[in-house]
Amino acid sequence: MIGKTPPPGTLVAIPLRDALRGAERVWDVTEELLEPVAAILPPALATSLKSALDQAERSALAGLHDPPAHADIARAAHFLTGEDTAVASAEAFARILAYAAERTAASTGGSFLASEGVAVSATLALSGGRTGADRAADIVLALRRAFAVGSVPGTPIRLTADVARGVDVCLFAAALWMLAAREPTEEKEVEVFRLALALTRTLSDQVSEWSKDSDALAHGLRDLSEHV
Amino acid sequence: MSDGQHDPGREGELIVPSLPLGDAEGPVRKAAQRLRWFVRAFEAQVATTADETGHVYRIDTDRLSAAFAGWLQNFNLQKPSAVEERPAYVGFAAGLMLRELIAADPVSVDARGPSVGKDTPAGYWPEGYVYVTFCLNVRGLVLQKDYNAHQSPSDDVRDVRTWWSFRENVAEDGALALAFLDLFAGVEPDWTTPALFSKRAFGTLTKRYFVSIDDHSSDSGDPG
Repeated sequence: MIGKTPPPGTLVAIPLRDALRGAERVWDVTEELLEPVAAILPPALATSLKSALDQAERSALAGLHDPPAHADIARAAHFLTGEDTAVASAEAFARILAYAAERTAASTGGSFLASEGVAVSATLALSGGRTGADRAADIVLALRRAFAVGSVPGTPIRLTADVARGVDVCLFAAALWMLAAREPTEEKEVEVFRLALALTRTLSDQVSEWSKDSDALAHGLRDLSEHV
Repeated sequence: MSDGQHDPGREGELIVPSLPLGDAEGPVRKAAQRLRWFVRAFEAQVATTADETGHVYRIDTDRLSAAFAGWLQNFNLQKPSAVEERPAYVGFAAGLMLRELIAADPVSVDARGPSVGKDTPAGYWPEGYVYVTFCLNVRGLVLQKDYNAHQSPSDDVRDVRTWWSFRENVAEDGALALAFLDLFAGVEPDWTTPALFSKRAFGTLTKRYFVSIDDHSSDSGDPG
């Protein structure tokens, strides 16, 4: 049951970004498939699909892959710890998560992405009055249950062991970044995420263990966030 | 801001980079327990060493983070609860870091400086030279800023023959990195159980870690 309903504008913007990320994934798959059958398929098919995607990327959603804005980072951090549970803050956190998924997949060679829509729904549905790292752990596990990050977000489809591990790393690294001390610039914040991701990857076995229990996960997040 | 303890330019001389001093509100030893400080300080050290030697270094951040994670785990395992033991733990912690850096080996050399001979520590083991100078510099910075003490590195840090022994021995037993760092820092090493902090006599500790403290300080005996 969703406790808070996103405003109408959100209902358009978030699905469009999710669709664009998904379309890019489809293009990647299509391009790979086209290679061995290039001699058979008409070249115009590949050209028109690529052209359509290029146009979409130049649209108002062109900032899809940019690092998150500094204001978004601060807002998302407050949402994660429970200081600010507004819908707009949940959306900011969802954008952070999408960025984290993209960077994690790129660094691990994994094939997964985040759905902002699923993330917003899952996090707003969270009940209970926990705050800080406890709430952060609850959010991580809620996102995990909802498959907010995955090969096909929102479904358990193609969640192989490698992808599942990558998802755990992504979720933990994103939460760790949000719980860590803030930096004054976007550039330095991106560096902090890079370090949070590197640390999480180093401790991925431990992260997987912690992810089995909310209290253990909260303890791990709380402890490590002081050292990032 | 530079915390230079030595004149730059002498071959094999420790060159102190502009290490970040951490948060204005807290001690350096606390900042050093944060990955972001550690990485920035390490990058500063690599840049300084590259300027000194002409070596072109490359840093693997994942390996560097792995070294930090391993260090943090071991640092917390043996951290003393007694406040009076904390200054001594600075040196031990620096040795732990050297062990982790050597094991993770996050630095590689893309090109060697043309004027650095292999008969110098920096020329013989460029990567190890970075690790040692970094650990010594952080050790010295924490002692100076947090405990108003300072270290006096020994001549061994400039002796390539000691480095031959250093590299060979730590390849067989990583724990000896702690003993060698003590040697380089000018304090008496524990060659028997270098990786066990609890085994060290406190009297020995005060002598080892405050070798250069002013004469009026009361550090020479067992504090009881």
